[in-house]
Amino acid sequence: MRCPRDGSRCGKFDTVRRCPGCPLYQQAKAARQAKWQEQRQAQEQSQARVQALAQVPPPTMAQAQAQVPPPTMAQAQAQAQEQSQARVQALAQVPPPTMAQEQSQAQEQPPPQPPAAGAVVYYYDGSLAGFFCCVYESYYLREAPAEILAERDAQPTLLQTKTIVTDLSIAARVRDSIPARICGDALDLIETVFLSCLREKEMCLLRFLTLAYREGRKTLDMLGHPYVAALLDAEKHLLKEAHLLRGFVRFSDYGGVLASQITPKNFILPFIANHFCARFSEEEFIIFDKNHKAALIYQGRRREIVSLDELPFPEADEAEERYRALWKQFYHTVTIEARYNPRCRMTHLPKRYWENMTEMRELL
Amino acid sequence: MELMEKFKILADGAKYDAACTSSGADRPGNKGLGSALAAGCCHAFSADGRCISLLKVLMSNACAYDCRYCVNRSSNDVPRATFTPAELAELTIQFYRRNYIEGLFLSSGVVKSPDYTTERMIRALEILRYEHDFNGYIHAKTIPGTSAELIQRLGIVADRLSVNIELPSEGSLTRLAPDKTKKDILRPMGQIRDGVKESRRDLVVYKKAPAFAAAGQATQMIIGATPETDYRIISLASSLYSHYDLKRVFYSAYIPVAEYDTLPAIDTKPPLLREHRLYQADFLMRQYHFDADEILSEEAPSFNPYLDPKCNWAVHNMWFFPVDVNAAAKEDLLRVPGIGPLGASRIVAARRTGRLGMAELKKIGVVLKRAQYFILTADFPAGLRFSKETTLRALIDPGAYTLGREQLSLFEPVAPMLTGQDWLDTGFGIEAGAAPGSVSESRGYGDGNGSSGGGGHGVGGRYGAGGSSGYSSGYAAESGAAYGGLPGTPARGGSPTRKLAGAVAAKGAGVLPSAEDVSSGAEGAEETILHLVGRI
Repeated sequence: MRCPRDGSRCGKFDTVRRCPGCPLYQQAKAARQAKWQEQRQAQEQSQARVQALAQVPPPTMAQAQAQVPPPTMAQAQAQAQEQSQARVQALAQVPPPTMAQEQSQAQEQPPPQPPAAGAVVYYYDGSLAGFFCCVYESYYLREAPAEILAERDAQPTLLQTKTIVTDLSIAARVRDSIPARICGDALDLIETVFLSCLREKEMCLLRFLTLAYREGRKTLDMLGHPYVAALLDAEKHLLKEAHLLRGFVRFSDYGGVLASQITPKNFILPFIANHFCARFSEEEFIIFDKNHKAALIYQGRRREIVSLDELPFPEADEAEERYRALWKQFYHTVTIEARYNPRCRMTHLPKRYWENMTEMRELL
Repeated sequence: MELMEKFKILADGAKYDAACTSSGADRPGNKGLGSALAAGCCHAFSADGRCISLLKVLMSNACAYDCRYCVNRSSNDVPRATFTPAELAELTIQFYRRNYIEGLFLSSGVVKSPDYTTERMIRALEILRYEHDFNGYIHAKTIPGTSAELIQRLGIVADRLSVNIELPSEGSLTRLAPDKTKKDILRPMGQIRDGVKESRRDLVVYKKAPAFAAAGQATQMIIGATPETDYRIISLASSLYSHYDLKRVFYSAYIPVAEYDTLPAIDTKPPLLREHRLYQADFLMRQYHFDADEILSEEAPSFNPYLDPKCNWAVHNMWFFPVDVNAAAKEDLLRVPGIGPLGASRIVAARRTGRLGMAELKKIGVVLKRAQYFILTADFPAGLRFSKETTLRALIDPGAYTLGREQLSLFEPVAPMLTGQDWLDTGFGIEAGAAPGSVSESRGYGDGNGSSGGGGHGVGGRYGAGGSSGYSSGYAAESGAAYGGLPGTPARGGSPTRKLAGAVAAKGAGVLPSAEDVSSGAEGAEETILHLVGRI
């Protein structure tokens, strides 16, 4: 739809742009208000009918709501029992189930080939390809591992263990199956979550895949499903941290090379690389992720993420110290004392980021 | 003058300017220094909790004007300083390289004349843009009274322009800012609006046409220095949005910086809660399809300090609810407290795959604490049943206690004080005569107490009866309040509201009717709510 005022494309909110002065918006608003008016009248009419029937003084909202008294606990329990019995008896006759109910039904009616649950722990090499090989193993043996662990996290266990060898051709098969059988966004989601700090992320991903291979394209719309929601939450956590760090990275200038250290929870270097490489395209810089022992290096218009155990920073020179001092002074000057609100600051800028920030370090 | 000292003076002079977001412009970078993100980016947060995104400084604080509310007014005895354009450009570049800032926010006091000042600002920005090849974000203030040609030049080098409207009415403007006139403020606004539109048209035809104020324009007004009502302020904002295509209107709680007979006394606390409510209303207008006269009206021109504007609308328009989350249109979902633009689109996407119950909504990110009173879901097709008082208590804004504690002091009422009548006005019929309704509400208390030893958590059973096996007990406990009548407060301390509710509950335990005297009348509900009001 074209905006009648400037001819630009209009469609930010469903079909009509939000600008209050827009004639299209006015039209939509009038329609909306007519609809609501109707709704309101219908409600009033039905209330009037109820009143006429009951021959009682006009009920307040409170009364209308209170017409059905809440059942007592005993009643509620009895009802619950009845209902659950009824459900067991007539699974097919219940009203359209919610997703939560669907899950419970799935548990009651196990799939034809139940995986042997929780008997084995998979070890893999910690790479995404390795994880895909675990998926392959689990899928073709119809075996549900109790845990999937990277070899570096291996620990003694009473369960049977199995080391999955990474085979790139198998990994590619699994990888290709995801866009084909689920959707391209699902592959993006999996790749992102694999870099996140979600606990037991491999098992979460595996559970998601079991669901997604069954449901196909619509899986990513099942936002309320616990398996999907877990992944989306992890993705959100990672992307949010990446966004924050775009602002919170502090470079120091060491003879023309910019260097910085970060300590994020998620492995976010690949997600901030584009931003910094485009922004400082004519500079040379290094961002060292101390927690994940990796660094993003940008030099001569080439970028690389390398693994790096340690990065010693040299002493700052005079010019660097001067700009640090100017920045710290600015930081303290812009605070309005009458609005002092350290709690609000902590919400937006959690303390775990402070250690790497020029102006915050000394406040720790 | 030493740069350090000069910088301190000029940063100090600019700090009361609120309009310093870095959003709206999208430039990929890849050549020169810098880029701009459409979503904006916060680089630091100062001790007052505000985002530091741009290097916010004045070009000069040697101002010729004498606006009464301003810290830089000519009659104020403060040290004066002025940046040279090159100095400012170098500082910006060095801060930007270290990723301290997202760009520059440049304002200025009026040196000699508006035109002279603007020319110096343009000079600094041109050094940045053309000599340093700087692609970062630049926000420039236009000085009221600047000529049209200079504004045109300023818009080419800046991403966003803003003209401060300063005060919400012309009368206040003439009284407090005698050197500025309404015409001086609105003329550049109109010019910027037309310039932006023209530039967009040109860009469609010529890819390389220079973009004029790519991120649009914003404005700011001071709240609490003059007597305008909230209704007047949001009506003004609404008309600015529609007539001048503003991206944002910023509200700045007045912080006294000068003694003047028509200004609030120097020790007045800034009206932070009022400012917060104005921003809430502003977002309702920009992103939730609300109109100014839906939020407030001539008859009720002030915000309710205890309920945010959306909850306030909801409790005054109960006929609109409940909304069926599995069927309602997106704009209807947006009216539900606890569902925002993101939640609404996620609901619309998720309900294609199956009917949604409370558990799914919680996963989707709906704030059920507020939303549950207003929606129909698959597992509660008739909606939750609740007492009015519970709803109201759940909706009370905890911010009203943390943010504006000074304001809501019992002894010095500054904001319009809530009275018992206000509670009645919220549409929650706590009329003394509402006996039948209250009886069954009170029965709710009795049952809750009886079955769970007074804890109020026994109501979880109700959820089981609802047929949803996906519920965690946590949720049942959280919304136990929704049903039993009294929130299960004793277990959770913490926020002031909860403490308040806890206090009410504790008091209530003494005065609450037992199951026997419930039948005799409605004192239960009334006692509690009156206690709440009294307590506030």
